[in-house]
Amino acid sequence: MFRIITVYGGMLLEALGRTLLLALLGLFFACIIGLIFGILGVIKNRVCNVIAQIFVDVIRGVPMIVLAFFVYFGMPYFFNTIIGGFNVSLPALHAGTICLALNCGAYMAEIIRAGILSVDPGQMEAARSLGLSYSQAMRKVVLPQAIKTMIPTFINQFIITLKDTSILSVIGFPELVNTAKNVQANTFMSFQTWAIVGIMYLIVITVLSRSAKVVERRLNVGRE
Amino acid sequence: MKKKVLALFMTAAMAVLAVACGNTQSASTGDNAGAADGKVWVIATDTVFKPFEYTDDKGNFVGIDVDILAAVAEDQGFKYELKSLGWDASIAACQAGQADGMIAGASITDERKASGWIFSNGYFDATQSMAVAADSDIKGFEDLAGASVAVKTGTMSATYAEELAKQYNFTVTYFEDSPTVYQAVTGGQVAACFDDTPIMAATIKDSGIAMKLVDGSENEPAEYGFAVFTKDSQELIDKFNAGLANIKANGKYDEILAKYLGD
Amino acid sequence: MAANKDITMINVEHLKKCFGSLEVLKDISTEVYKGEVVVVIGPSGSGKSTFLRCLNKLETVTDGKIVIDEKEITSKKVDINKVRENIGMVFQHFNLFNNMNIIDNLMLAPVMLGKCSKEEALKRAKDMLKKVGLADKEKSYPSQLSGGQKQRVAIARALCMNPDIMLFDEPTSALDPEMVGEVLAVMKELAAEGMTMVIVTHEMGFAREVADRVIFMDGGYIIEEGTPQEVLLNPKEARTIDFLNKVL
Repeated sequence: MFRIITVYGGMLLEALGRTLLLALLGLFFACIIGLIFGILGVIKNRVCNVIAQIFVDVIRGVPMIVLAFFVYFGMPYFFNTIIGGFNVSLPALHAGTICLALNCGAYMAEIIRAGILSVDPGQMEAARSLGLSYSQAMRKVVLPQAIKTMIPTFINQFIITLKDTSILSVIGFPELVNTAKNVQANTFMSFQTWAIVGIMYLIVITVLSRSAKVVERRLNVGRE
Repeated sequence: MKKKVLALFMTAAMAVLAVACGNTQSASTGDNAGAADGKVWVIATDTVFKPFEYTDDKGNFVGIDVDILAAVAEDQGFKYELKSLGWDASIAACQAGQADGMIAGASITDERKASGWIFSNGYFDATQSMAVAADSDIKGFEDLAGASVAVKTGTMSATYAEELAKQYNFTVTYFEDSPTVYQAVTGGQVAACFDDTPIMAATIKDSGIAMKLVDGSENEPAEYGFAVFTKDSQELIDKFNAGLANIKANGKYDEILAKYLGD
Repeated sequence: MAANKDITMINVEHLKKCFGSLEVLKDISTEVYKGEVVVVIGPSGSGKSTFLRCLNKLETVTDGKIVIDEKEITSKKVDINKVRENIGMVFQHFNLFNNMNIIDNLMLAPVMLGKCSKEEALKRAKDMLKKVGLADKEKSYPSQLSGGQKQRVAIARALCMNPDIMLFDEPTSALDPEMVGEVLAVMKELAAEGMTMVIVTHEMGFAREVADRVIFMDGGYIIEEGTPQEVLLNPKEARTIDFLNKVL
């Protein structure tokens, strides 16, 4: 165990850094995707509702490992070979970000949709009755209240996404699990390697969830 | 009604489970059953590492490793159960004592020995080579500057590529199995891949994948060994070495290699 | 009180509203003049709240025509948001914005819609809070107020847009009895200042005292309308008499 830390510690820390980078990029775009499809799911327009529902159903119905292979290998094949004329090449980081953003985005869309629906419709009516447009009312009145109820679920989703980055080891992105497999294969020390990796995840996730709790408490100060 | 649906679902789930468990290859050498002390050794191996272990088009789990192990066991008269666990899980299973040994095209390295592993004598001299897409212009390592190459995690080809990477200034990407490595080459995600020469030769020949070996990219041969983790399994190593010597002497070994690699 | 029959603020012609196959408003036609206080009464399910909500298009209109201050809001060409700026609405359940303190509740719409500068909006918001007797609550959050206080803030919030018309949808129905008075007092003051008001309520005493006109609705129709004297004290229609017997 000690030998792994001295010889491979730096390599594993770098891999942890790439895991965090991938998770943050994925989450950032997931928030945007989630917001777009979450709102498409609640506005009074059948077409938008159906589009949002299809997106959520498709992404939730496909395991991320399949999605990862599809995005990394399938998309370039589709554009370059089937359609032809393109020269699409997706680095693993980009492909990984797309996968996480789509996957997490679909769950975020559902969280946001449910959050918006949980806000008393009277809030929207009151804002509209004052002359605010739908989007103004949504931005200033409904979303801030919805987000407050969503925070605990968000934190949960963030942690799941951070852990989901490990699935992207299959497309060769050198995140923590991918690197750990190398260390394991070089040293043939399975448990020691996975114990170290497990502890690394545990520390990061504990720190994240604790600080998220602090943020949540701050947001609640002065209200109710 | 609900109960019926549930029952149906359970039946289906159990059927799937039964099939999945069928992945474990139970093989006891018929002639020698009941011989020796009757202990059944559990041997772990990879899922796909063609032509050393793979499932053929008839659904049989076959390969050089599989046949050598069978031949050695027959020669030495021990019983074993071969479990196709996958590369990572095989390592873990030996360490945990859930398997007594592993045969999975594992190269004999000093670093692995330093971690407490015991290897048999080498049963195969493996070389690693570089392959590129069939229509690629890459003629040698010099053409790889700035590019990315694919390897399978933890293999000798990974080590080979890592050594070359510094010299020729390219990056190494790690995948879990050979099919994904080749997919990355033919799909254009990487410029080239490194893998065991016989594996790639067999794959290109059998599957017609749009890939070619690059001449002069082969390295010095390294040996594959049968590996155990605990001293308790030293007996197994001794038997393997003895059996290996015998099948090499009686021509069985060459027969197996010829079967999978051709001439 | 000061109804000016020369200026029509609200004109409703053959208004019809369906929810799916349910016809809630069948054929409503009426007019409201500038400065007039109209109280709408009727049994629950009579369509009176729906009628009120049609006046600022919180409900889409199935058929008919509504003209507010010379703008036909049932036409697709009219920007309803602009028209709503001129119509204040007070809800049964207050609907104060829970994510903001009181002063921000009052300032949101005027500032966001560019009605005035931030300073002017703040000044007007403070004036309106003083008018409803809650000057000391500007930093409080809605959850810290009593029902009566919330409703007075809701009225102040509507007044901050400086509307010409105020709609009240059962403003006292969700209040404890001891808080009804403070809200009605604010409404009386507004009426005295000449605000055009349409009020759906069960407060018959208030209707008698403040209304210029009372409309009795039942089953999606206007059954009877007239001065409080006529409708409340000398009703002609059987259904009006029946209803008044039950509530008085």
